[in-house]
Amino acid sequence: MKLPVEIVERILLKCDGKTLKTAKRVSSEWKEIVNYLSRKTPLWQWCCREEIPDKELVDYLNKYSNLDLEKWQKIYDNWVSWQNVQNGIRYDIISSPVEIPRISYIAVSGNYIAVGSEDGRVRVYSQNWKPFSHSRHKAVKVMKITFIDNTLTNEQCLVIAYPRALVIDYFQKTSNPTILEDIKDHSVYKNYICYEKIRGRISIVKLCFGDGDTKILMEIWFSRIYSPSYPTCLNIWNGVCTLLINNEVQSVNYDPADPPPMLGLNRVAKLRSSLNQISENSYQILRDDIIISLGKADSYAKEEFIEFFILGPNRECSKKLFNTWEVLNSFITCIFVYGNTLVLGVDCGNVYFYHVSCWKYFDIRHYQKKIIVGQHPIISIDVKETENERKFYVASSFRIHEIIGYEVKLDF
Amino acid sequence: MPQIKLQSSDGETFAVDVEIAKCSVTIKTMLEDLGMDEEEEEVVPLPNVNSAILKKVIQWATYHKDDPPPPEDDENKEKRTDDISSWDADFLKVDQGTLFELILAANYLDIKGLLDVTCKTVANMIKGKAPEEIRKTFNIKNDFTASEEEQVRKENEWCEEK
Repeated sequence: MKLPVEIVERILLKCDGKTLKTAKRVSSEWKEIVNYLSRKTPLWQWCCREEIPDKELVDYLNKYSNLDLEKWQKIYDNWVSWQNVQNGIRYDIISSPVEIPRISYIAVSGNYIAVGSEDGRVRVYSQNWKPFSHSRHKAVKVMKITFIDNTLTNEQCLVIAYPRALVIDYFQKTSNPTILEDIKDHSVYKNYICYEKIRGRISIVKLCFGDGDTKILMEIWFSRIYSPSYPTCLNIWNGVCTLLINNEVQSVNYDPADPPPMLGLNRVAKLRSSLNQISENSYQILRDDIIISLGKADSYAKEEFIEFFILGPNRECSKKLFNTWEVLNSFITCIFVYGNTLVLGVDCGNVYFYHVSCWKYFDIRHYQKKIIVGQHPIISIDVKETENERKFYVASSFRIHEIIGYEVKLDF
Repeated sequence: MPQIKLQSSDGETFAVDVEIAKCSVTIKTMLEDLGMDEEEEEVVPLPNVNSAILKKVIQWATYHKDDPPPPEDDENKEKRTDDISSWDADFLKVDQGTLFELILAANYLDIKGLLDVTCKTVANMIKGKAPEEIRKTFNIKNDFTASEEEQVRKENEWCEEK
């Protein structure tokens, strides 16, 4: 029995993305139907929203600036192909043509690449490494760079972190930079910045783009952390600011639409770290639910541990501990997560790719791809997602490499 | 309760409560347009539905007679296929031919709820299947030439993984 086209359409509209991809291979008529539905309905948007975990989708949507129907399909395609980091992806490694001495950080946005140096210089490149702008606000190491996009005007600026200061650099214009002094730690998400001042005051500010060149930093929340409590690290992400205060995770929700009253911090979970006895210990918060701690006994011993804390929705917290030296035979120098892909950079110049479908089952031993990038420690990684590839920018102190990963398409 | 008679393609008639029959938009409009008198026990001919299928449709409609009206199609509708009620799932444990006939009947009679749940069932059936299996299910001829097929296969290479 043959079903009429409108019934086949109805059935296909109920199918998941993978089945739709298969359906295209059934017959030319079916291929046409799927293509038609992709153009005329938000089919792929549904697939993305239903199949991609919410927290991953936030990453993908942030990396794609405008969203037409085609984009949802691309996001879905990339998401599926990056589930098979080992065999589904082909990697090309390109060494960037620019020579920059003593690189300390790299950040990538849709059109620009910003590279910070140990001496405080920040160089911005446009497509194909064409120099775009250059600045040096302080003569100390650039700790971190983040892009802020103003989606309305397509205007971008940089948040540059120095050891004790934050500089907002409107590199596309000649306007004066905004400088915030005495900043110990900070985190940027979209046009929100959360920062900690040296005496324990924590603020969330919103960067508002006014008419013309006026920019306003509007404080929407603040709190004070009194000694002996001290914030270990903080992260702002998708409406939630997560802080680690004396081994306790606390958080505050900020509502982008209307500034919240002075909300207190919510206690989320206590971290019972296995690495407390270890002297050098650094923390990093991913999204609002993963905390990574990296600890070395001392810099001479060949021993390093990584501990993951996975926070659940009901204040539960599970943890996993791995001896990284045993697995990777090197020290981790850089941890980067994008959607379903975790990338670890190590001090001997390798990067390891993991597909993470569920953090609870993550195992550092099961990396799917190892790429030898160079011989120097990997210090910074960022990613750019385009039509059918993910391009990882991997920086060591001397060189930037682009690892371009795209879906394997066999040639016959 | 007033009843009407529905006549299947093979001539069998079924007496059904008017309220139940009206879950089919086709019958509902027919009754309204023709102004059929409910007293007269008129017979509505349904030339596209045979008695076995009509019986199933009436069984489904009787069970679902108190359901709230289905929501209108809209942009944000979900396409989840895992929300089929256990009664419906049992009801649709039929051979594939019957299932397809039910879909066609639901489409002809314009019963949105039944059409929805049957389409979902078929969608679940083809989930994770290879193209050849889907062709067999739907009785479709593979009309791709070898080179075209290669092209399509390349476009969807990762499907081969799994």
